[in-house]
Amino acid sequence: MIDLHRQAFKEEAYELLAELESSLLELEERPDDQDLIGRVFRAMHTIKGSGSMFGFDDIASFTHEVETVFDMVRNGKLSVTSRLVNLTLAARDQIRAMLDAADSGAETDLQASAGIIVGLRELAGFGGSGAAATTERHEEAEQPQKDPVTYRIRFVPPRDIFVSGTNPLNLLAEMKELGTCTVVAQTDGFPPLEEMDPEGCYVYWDVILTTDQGENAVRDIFIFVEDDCDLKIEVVAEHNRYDEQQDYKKLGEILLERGDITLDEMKAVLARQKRFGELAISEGIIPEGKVKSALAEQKHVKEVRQEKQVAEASSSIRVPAERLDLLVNLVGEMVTVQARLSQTAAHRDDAELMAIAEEVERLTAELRDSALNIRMLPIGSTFSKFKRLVRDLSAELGKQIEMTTEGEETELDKTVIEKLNDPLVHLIRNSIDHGIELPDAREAAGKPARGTVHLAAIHSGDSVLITIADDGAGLDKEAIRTKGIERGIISASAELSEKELFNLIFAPGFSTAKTVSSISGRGVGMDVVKRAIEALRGSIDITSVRGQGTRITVKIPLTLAIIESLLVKIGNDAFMLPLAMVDECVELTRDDVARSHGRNLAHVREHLVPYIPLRQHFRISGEPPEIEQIVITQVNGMRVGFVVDHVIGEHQTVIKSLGRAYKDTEGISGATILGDGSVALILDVPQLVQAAEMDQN
Amino acid sequence: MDEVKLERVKDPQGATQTLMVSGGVTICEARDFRDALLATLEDAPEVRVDVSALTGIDLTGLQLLCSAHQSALRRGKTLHIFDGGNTTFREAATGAGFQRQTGCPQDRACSCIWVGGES
Repeated sequence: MIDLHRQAFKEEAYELLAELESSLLELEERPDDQDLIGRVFRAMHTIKGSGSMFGFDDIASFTHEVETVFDMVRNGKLSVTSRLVNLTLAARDQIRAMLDAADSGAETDLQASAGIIVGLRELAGFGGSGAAATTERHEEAEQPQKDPVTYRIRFVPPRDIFVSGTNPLNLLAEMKELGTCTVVAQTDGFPPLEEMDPEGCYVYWDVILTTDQGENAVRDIFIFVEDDCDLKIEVVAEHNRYDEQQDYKKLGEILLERGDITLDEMKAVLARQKRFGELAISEGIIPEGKVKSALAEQKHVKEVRQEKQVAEASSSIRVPAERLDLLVNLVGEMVTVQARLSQTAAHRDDAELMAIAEEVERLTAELRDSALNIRMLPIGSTFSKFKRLVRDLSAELGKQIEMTTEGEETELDKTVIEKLNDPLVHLIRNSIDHGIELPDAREAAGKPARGTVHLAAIHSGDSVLITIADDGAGLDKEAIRTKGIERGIISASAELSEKELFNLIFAPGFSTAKTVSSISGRGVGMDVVKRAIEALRGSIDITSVRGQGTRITVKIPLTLAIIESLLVKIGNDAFMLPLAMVDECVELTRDDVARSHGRNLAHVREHLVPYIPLRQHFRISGEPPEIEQIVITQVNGMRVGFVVDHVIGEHQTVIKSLGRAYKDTEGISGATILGDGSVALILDVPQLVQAAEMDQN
Repeated sequence: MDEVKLERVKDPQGATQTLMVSGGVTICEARDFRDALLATLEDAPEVRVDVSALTGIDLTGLQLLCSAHQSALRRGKTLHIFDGGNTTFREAATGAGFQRQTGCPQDRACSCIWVGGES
């Protein structure tokens, strides 16, 4: 149980640290933004509080020091300087290191912690002596609301709250500081004295609080216990919105709202008396219509409030990623089974079965989309990590670089985002390292001293385009050419288009890299980046203008779980080609083959298209049919054909990995199960093309 | 906080037994406090808990008092709190929300220890 809590804390802390980092970087740009300062402070405050609750005492005490400094910033006693941001970023890294070390049992660098603390204290004017003065609870940074709101808070603490070291009375006292507060202890859950655990908490509270501080201020009080306790905060009256009612709700109404009595119970009690409306009508004071209208108003307000409650309840929950993966896997199998069902239904020609199959098909499609949607995350969190990278690296290299981003809200599959991280880091490093010039050189070239790296993401069909554009020196075509010849990748006489020339930098062996083990280290070849992107079934494209900058576009499919593909057959074997890469299909007759004199080239509308005969490539025995099919694909801007026996048609493919034993199989990226239960292999088109090129060379 | 002292005094007439609580009752003393309350409740039909010399009480203590009162009612016994105007005790009870217009559901005899009380 404790481990579970610790794990939950760690997950939350990692998220907070990520948020903290982006807030700090933003703060550097807008040092006066009170909202940002508040965010930094709250992140620290939460890490400290929950850290100490779950036994991460070193983290708690370290974070406390940083929090203290930010409290001063919040109260306007200290201004945000780049030194403060630097130190806080270092502190953030240190907290992360401590969190990492908590698992492995490794020692954390205490000296680093001490160094950061001394720096912070100097900055805060404590001169490194003694503990910093602090206040435990702070005023909310956010602007107080002008009009007070009355909240009804039911706080049911966990039974073991005393043991965990939290005193609920302090929480109540904090609430009293926020405004007018009525606290009622509820004692109905008490067991007989002899059964009572003297150290358990049995009491819970109803608190009616009228405050102008906003709901967040109330929630902040429960920040450390919120996960474990039962906390319900409802607005019962907004004193700006409704005219001050002379009489507040009826007693029965309030009890019902609180869930203390059921509707039936209340009705039973009320049935014994005549309703006000009935009385009023029977006494002849008012006509029935007036009463009905008033009742309608009552109903309306209630409904509006109920809707509000529903909206509150539908917030978010935290789910382990494995469970989602399992769900997606199951949905994948479901899609396969559904395909079989549809096929069987069509085969049987049974109208009733077909109707069911269609219904299942519709539901499965919806289920598939929703399941995949759950795993979609905005790419923004990855982008903000890069901001830090740019900041640190440009400082290291003495360059002035600003990173701008666009399309942070673009959503991608979680796994794709994770796998995209390293290649993007490398591309950005390259832009900073080799692309953007030193300030002097930039000014000499008539450009602003401060360079820009622009990172953007945008949806395009079933893919996402991520561009990394810099306004640096651009690629040197001549240098690339010379190096290509030097490395033996191209011949000295080769005539290459600009695109082909740029693509050379992705060729294996082009890079001067000595190690290829760690992507985050410098000097990793671009071929590693390209391979990583291709492993995601993506592609990478470069445009560059000398002196003006380079733009790298990475195209990535939205999800790795399901693709649209083209089903083809060679003999009895079925294969899949990702539909996104397929341009067209043309016929290949025996005469065509004879005409090209064994050179594997086809004439398609006056253009020569090289092709790979897959039957030969995979050494499939048997005779090909009289007329074969060439599936022409687009790879790295080049048209390459794949010769197959038959093209069956489009197919929605749930990708299954081949398992560890076959993970190094070349030319195949995965497998899928067809409607009839047989297996079809998914072709790794870029790799097949690459292998064919190598063969030719 | 002073050390807690729990002392049971029998009324000469016999019916009432008083539990004198002095010092501070915290979670550390909660078990002893519960046992003292239970023992007093076992012994006499009328129990008086004298908290006038109390110098501090936390939530565990307040809970036990309330539960003792509920247990007394269930056994058909009576339990009164005598606070002698002790502001520490009153403030602690008020702060924790133990202060009400009517008693709890168990309190059919309107003897809730948090309503009024002797002074």
